[in-house]
Amino acid sequence: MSRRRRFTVPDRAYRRALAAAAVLFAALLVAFVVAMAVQAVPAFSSLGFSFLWGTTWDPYHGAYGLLSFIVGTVETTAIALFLAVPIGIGTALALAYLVPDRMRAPLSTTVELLAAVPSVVYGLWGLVVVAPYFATHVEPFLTSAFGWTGLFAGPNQGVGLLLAGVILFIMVLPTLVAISRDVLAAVPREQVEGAMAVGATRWQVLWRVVVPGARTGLLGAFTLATGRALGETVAVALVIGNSPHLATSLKSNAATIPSLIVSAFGEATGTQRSVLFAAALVLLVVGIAVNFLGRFFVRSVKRSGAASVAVA
Amino acid sequence: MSVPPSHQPVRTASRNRRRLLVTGVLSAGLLLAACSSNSSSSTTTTGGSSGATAKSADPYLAADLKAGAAQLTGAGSTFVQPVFTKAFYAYSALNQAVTVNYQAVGSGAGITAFQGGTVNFGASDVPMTAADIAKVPASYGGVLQVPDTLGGVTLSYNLPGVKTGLHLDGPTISAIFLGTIAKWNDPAIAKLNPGVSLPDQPITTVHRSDGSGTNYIFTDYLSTVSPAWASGPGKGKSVTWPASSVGSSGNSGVAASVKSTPYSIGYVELAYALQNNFTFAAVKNAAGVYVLPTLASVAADASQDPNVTSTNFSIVNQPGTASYPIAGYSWALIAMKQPNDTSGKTLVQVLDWMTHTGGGQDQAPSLGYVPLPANIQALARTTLLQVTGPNGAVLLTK
Repeated sequence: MSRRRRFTVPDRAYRRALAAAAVLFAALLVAFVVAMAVQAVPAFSSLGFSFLWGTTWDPYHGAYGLLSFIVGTVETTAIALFLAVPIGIGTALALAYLVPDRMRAPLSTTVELLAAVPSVVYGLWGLVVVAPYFATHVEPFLTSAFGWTGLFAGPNQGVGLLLAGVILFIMVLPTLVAISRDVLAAVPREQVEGAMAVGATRWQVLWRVVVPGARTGLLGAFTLATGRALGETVAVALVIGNSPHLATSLKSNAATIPSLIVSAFGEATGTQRSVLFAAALVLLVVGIAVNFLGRFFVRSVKRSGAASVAVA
Repeated sequence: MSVPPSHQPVRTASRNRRRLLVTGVLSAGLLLAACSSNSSSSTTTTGGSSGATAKSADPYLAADLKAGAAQLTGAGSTFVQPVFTKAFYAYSALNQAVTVNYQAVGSGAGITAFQGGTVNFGASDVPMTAADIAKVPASYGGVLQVPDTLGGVTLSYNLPGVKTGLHLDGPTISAIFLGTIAKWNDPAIAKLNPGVSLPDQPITTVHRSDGSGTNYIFTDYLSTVSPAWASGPGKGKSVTWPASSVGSSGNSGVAASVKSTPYSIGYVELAYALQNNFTFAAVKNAAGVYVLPTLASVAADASQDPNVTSTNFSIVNQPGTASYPIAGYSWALIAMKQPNDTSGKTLVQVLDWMTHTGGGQDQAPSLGYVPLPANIQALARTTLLQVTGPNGAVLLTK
């Protein structure tokens, strides 16, 4: 009896501490939004809202248009995810179901190690090793093969929107693969074996049972990858060319909101500083919007009667 | 695959903890010993130069080396980072009580940090304007700007097969960076370089994306020699560049971009160009001669204008056949009224040592900076002699 009482007080305190931590994280998110908003208010009060879609960025003459940075952020993230989602989910499926047992552990560990490489290392590698290769081999090839689309106009500089998108793709891929592989492997074996038992081919099992079964977890992986791609600062700033103009082709120089903040914040004062906080707020809102959009998509697919039971 | 944690009984845990502590103490001790042996070895190598300073009759320098203990911080220009790093390290080797931490964040950010009071001194390639000075705290009692380095800005290019010394003149450089000259084999460049085979490739220009004093010196030069530039982007720490120009952060960023981008050209401080073995252009000076940036040509340019002050500081495009036209001083920014006697006195003594021959200026040539001319060193000292402590006493003494 005394033994039971000895564990009750710490037990209650532990539970309360964990609950407090959970509430703290929610409060932290609210605090972020409020802090950004408070710092951004001077910009909104002196410039109105039009600077959010203004196209000219020239702080020395009072022009603070953020559109080219917002578009640049969306474009680089889109390129990165366009490459990462098919390749990442494919790799994760392979690691979870297709690769021989002996190779599963070493390959998984290698992918996880890639996720541990610091971003600035990717940026330096991208600038020093990949950019010259892009300029001399990749960009000329893409221009000659796909130039008719109009997406590859301009000189072959190496750095630019495409390189930034590719570096981001390499950075988010390990995270996406590591989480997706765990989620895909966690689909109940009864469902997989059940599908095989009724005569489904390997591809049918993977695409009609496993992937739909893991879709909530895959959405989580996708959201994490998007979050990382949206917020990547130094690696992007090193390879994107830092030009505050709207990119007209995949080879142009562009800029993202994080690269703008890292290059301009040091000496920004007054209105410009406030505008940078407003830009950070926009980034935060875009990230949250992507998250909610994804959840909505998953819920609507569930409601429309998709095949299997979702993994919690 | 997760590995279950191994079960460790309590007795082994405490023994392991003790082992860890002993290992930690031993390695910390070894590290400290290595560091102190490093600094003592560098003392012996700089011992020669300090022996030479004893011969010179500068009474302030000896006192400078006996400054009181302090940890000073500075921030600003990337233009001066190589020489500041080396000189402050050499100073700390001679006077282990003082450490100076310098962050090269760009001239613009350095001025902001100085205005915010987060650093002891700022560093900027362009002196603070009246508007900047108005933003410093009133407790500073005013701002003093001390010239601390003299350097040149090179036009470094990455052209496979073309050696150093491509001839370029002001209007051509301006047209290249405006985008009106788009290819390397453009007739305007070919005319200046008969006999050089220029590739048929588009030119990628690289500029500074952060607020930069190097940018100011370069655009000051372009505004002086090209009306198209003066009426277009103009001069400033940050200007508007065409969309095809690549922006990089810091002198080191531009250097890295030029190195990685074939057929590119960018403006980098001479020390960075020498360290990276860049090929750079011979620029036509005001006398019509094509001059390569070297210590001698930058010094020749600076010597043409001995009356430099913090309000009249531009030395670009000076007359003289040996002058390299794109050069400038860099300035240290300090409060006239220091809040603390000890750290304030150490600050002025370190800066005085930094700006004089026999002190920090001896480190300059090995890195590609020109030692300050004698009259500019005198200007630095008279400026530093105006710094007072909180009670009004002059801090720099013999």
